[in-house]
Amino acid sequence: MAPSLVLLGTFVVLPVLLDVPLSLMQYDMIAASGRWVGLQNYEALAADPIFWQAVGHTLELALGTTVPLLVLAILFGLVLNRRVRGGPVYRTILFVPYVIPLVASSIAWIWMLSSNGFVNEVLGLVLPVRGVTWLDSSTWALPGIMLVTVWQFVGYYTVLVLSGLQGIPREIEEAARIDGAGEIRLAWSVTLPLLSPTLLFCIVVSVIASFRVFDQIYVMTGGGPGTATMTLVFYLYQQGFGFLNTGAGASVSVVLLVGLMGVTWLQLRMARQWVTYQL
Amino acid sequence: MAGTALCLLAALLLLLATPAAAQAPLEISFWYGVGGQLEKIIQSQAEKFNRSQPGVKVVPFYAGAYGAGGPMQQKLLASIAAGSVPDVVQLEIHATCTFASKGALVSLDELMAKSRHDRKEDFLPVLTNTACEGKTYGIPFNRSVPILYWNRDRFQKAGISGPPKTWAEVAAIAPKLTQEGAGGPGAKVFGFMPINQWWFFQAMTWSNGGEMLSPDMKRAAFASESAVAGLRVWTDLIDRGHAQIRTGPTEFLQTIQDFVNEKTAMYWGSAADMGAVAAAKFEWRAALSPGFEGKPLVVPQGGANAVIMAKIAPERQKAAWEFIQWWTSPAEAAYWSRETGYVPVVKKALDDPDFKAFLKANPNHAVPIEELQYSRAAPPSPKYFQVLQLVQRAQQNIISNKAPALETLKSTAQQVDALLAAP
Repeated sequence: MAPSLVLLGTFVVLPVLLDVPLSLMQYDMIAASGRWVGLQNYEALAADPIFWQAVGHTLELALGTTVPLLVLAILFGLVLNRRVRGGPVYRTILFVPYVIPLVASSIAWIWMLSSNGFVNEVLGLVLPVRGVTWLDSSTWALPGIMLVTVWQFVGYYTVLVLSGLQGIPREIEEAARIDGAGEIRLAWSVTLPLLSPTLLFCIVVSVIASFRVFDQIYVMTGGGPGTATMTLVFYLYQQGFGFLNTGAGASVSVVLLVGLMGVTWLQLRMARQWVTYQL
Repeated sequence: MAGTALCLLAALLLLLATPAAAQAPLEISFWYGVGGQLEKIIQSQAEKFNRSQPGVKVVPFYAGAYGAGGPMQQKLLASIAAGSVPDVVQLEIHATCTFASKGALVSLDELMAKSRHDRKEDFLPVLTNTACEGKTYGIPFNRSVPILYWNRDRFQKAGISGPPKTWAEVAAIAPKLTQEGAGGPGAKVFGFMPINQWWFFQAMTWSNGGEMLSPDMKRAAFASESAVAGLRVWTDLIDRGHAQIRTGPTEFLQTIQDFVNEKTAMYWGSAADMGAVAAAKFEWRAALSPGFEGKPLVVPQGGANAVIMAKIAPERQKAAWEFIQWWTSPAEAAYWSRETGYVPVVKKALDDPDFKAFLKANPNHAVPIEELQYSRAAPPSPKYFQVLQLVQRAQQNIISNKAPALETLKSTAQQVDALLAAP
């Protein structure tokens, strides 16, 4: 236990602890010197409209990835749980994106999201859309990032949901069927409530992960066009490493930490309403 | 027996203790920030230097793109924080003063004065953005200027005899060069493709009589009609479907590829693109950057300086200087320019008869050298490369997000003023 505590302490706890005083300083990375400025960094954040845009985009990203991820994971999980022929093959295909390095898939997605790329071709078959300039447009760049994120992680959440489904005792399902429940009623009143602890875990993890999205934005849009895909983490990165404003970057990370803790606490609080641990 | 063994042991120890007849060369690390074809040339040049003399061995290392705020600068910051810096770095010219003003670089004035071919007067007018607060900290490693590349075959088919000299001419001929694709949007050929980066915005602003910063470098000066004029030409052409831009971190490379793949009849890029453009299967030409009618052409230089990090041992600094001097010797400077399209940095390279013959045979390579006389230094403010990132964002808002040009520049100017005012 001791070695892992040391690792955890050095690489997780210590940086977080050092972060808070850093956010109260203006620190020059090249000269390796700083001075205390109190809450000035936080005031500058509150006064910066781009910071608030970043907050908005982060929340949009959280919603726009968590909802599709969960819906798709539940759908795929329910289908794959039925012992379909070739089930393991489909499971593997769903899971493969999760294993591909995010940076590599982001590079491929740049090409697929170009105005004459694969996504527009497919969309053009079913919808009257022509030549959407995904990563070049302020309306469609963030949805593009959401698309890549959902594609990358749907397999992971499907596997989680599947394992949750397999923990549901068969007797309960059979009893419900004997009582005359149809498929949808079965799913809604029996399966989903028993799945709710797993779903809670998925929601919490997905929201935290979406707050930390970075690779796709760094590779595909650089926060742009303009500030259309600026999220909190990318704002942090720009402040700290683009503008060499280390104190400001630290203050954003403190805001992120407090924000995420708050959001998670809220989710766990609300969980009492809808999560059932036993029928 | 014991005596013989002892003697043998003593002999062995003596042998091991004697320094080898040939000293192992001093290894110095060289961080560079260009990829693709340019990287191959840097690697081969480093090997050439290592073979040419026994004392110094340069170990090149690709640290990521050297652009402002890019991966190489972050690695450099991390290495400074960790206390183990490389020896020689290819540092972007606008970032040189940022690092120099904090004491991270060695000042080179004395070394230059004593050198054989690296005295200040040996250089072409490329010593822009190498100095900070009166002292020189960098030697020009690669220098480029903005260059217009045009597809002569397509121009001739459209009945246009030569490249455009002003932005008004660009706006007039781009529609003639645009071709709708028969096979769908993928086959369309645009008349013009600009690259939406601050470097080109600087060129258009200066060429129209505008400025980026006030003379005292304390306030932004680019929220003006002169700065907006060029951007307006771009947005107008894009709106009418005669131009398009690429976006994202690889926009520059994508635009070069578009020109090579004949997705555009002309594009405004860098002298350094010539190696990549040479892959084109049609007749292409380089031309001076377009300017504005009745006003002198003024362009920025681009590229990086070779700098020596301050916190390394004196013998490593000396070795680093050896490498830099070799790189800027007339023969090697001419070779680098020939292979890449970057301008040769020293005057004597132009006197090299091989290089003269090369320029005669490849007139495209003579264009950037001609454009050097119109180039000027960017304001040597330590915060300049942060200013440029804010300007870049404004450009993206104007071109991609269709934000009103002058208002966007005005609000960016306010941010820049706040940045420059902060200590």
